[in-house]
Amino acid sequence: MNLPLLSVENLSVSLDAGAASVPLVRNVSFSIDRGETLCLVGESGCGKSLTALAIIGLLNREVMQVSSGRILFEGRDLISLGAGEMRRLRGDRIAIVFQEPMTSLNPVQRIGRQIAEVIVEHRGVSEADALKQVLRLLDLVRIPDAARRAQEFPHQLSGGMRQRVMIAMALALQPALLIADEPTTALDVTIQAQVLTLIDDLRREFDTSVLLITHDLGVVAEMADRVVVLYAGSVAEQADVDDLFDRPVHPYTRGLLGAIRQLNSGSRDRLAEIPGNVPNPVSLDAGCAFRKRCASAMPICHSERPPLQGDGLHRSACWLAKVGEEVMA
Amino acid sequence: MTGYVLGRLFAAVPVLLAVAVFVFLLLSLVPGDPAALIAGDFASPQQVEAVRQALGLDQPLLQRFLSWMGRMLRGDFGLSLFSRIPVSQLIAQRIEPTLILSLMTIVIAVLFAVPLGLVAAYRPKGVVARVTMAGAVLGFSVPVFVVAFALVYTLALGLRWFPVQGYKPLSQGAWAALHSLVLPAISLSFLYIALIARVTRAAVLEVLREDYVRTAHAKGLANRKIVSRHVLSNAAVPIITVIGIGFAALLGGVVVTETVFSIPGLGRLTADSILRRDYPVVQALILLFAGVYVVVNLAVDILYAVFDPRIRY
Repeated sequence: MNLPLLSVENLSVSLDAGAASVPLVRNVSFSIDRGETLCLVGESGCGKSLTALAIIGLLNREVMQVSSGRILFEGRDLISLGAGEMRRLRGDRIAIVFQEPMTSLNPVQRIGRQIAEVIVEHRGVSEADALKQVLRLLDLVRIPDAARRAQEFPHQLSGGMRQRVMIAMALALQPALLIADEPTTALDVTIQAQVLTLIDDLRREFDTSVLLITHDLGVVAEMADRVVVLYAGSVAEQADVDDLFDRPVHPYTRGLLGAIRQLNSGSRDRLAEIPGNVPNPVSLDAGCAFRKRCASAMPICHSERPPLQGDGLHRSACWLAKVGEEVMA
Repeated sequence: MTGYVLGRLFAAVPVLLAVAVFVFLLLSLVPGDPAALIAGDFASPQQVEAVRQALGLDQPLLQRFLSWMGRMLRGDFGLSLFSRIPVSQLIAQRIEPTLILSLMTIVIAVLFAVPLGLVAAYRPKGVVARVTMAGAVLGFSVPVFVVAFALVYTLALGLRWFPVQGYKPLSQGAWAALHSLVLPAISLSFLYIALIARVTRAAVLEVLREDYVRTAHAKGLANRKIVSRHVLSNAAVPIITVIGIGFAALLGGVVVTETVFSIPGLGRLTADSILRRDYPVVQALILLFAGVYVVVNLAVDILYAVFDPRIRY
């Protein structure tokens, strides 16, 4: 069996707040095969972006730390790589598209140069040669009139155009892994679909693996092969996309799905919602992190954190699943 | 870009005009009669009246202003009341040391301050940051003449590397001129190092938080390239502003330093002329300093546009 391209094993990321260390990502494991799209789903603050930043080595070192775990990429553990080696992977084998296209480009540099820079850095070609490739890349991400656009500055482009520029920059060297951190959240709805389609087309064309971070289950249904649902820094459930939508196990996943199902059915009832808020990571105790918002909470949920269990493809961290198994048996 | 520069240039005209009006009124409105002053203490009323007519002071105010402006525009600033030398000649003699001293000071300041500010921003808890920020407070609060006397005592009197005072003009060789201004330039530069380093640190800290710096890291660029291509060009505007203002202030206000080191520059000419009520010289100097501020600001505005395309378009 082939090794997965990326395999995150028991990753924990913690915030160093003075003497105390607050875990923000706890024991997260998942893997992505070549050419596959994995969606990381969850509410704001659940650790999605931190997981992505840990993979590409861009955590703010002054306050954040990978406290345990491994990130195997093409057989190498990224966490134990030196800064220089990690830098050579970034932009070349692993690339990222951020959420905010309006601020992610340098406002005082022409966009052509900004894209060319990554090619010059990793391939050692001249800037003139790199700029020729840039024109091809701009065509690829469907920016019309590439030659003129390459000479423009970011403020002359719309948000959608800027995100295409970011994608061109990320895909310039055909990375094995593209991380897209909520790439469409800041864009108009009509532009969102275009950008997602673009990412999916390019994934197919270059056999790139995509780690797509989103809180939008509509996007998940559209794009994902597999899904990891994060809650309060831990994996709540992970499964193939169809399996997850058909047979969600974790009450949190069910809650998320309930919210969009109702929209699709055109019901005029009050919107389904998950009551309460994401718990403060400082106050997490031994019990299940979701129990205070969970309608099915049982005594054991208060005392013990449910382990992630299930078969290899569909796993969830909920005592309900455990009870179900025992009933079946 | 050309349109932007022309626009800035036109905007400078009303500023200079306003200064000219102010300077002109200064002479017309100060207590005391210029004609009497020029005619001397022992002049008869007839002699004073003759001087008044010779100078055109009996004309209406507006007419006097226009003919005065005409002379200013031709570079005719009149005679010094004190030395009877044409004012333009007097200023020309004094401008060289001040110009060189200001340039040296600002170059020294930038060479030290920008790297210090950068390091202080990158390692906010490091030794360089702490020393720089503490030193900046010192640079602001210790008067220039204290630094100057300390330098004279150690480097001039002690080690005898530099002259204690005086200025050797460029006509005696560029090296001699620079050498004679090293100590004054260093003592002046402390304040400007403090100022520019603080502004650089603040500007760089702000840029380092920007998303596009994270993008640059995501491209796999080395820190050195991120600083030179992405950080400095974005932090440039406030840094250039403070350098520009500093340079303009230096050209007009180095009285203390020029006095301590006996440098025959514009600062001392200004102080002396004010004390002697040598109004034509004071007028010309005020106009000159206003002109310097306008030109430096224009240069700063143009540099903004060079660094930031959003200003250009």
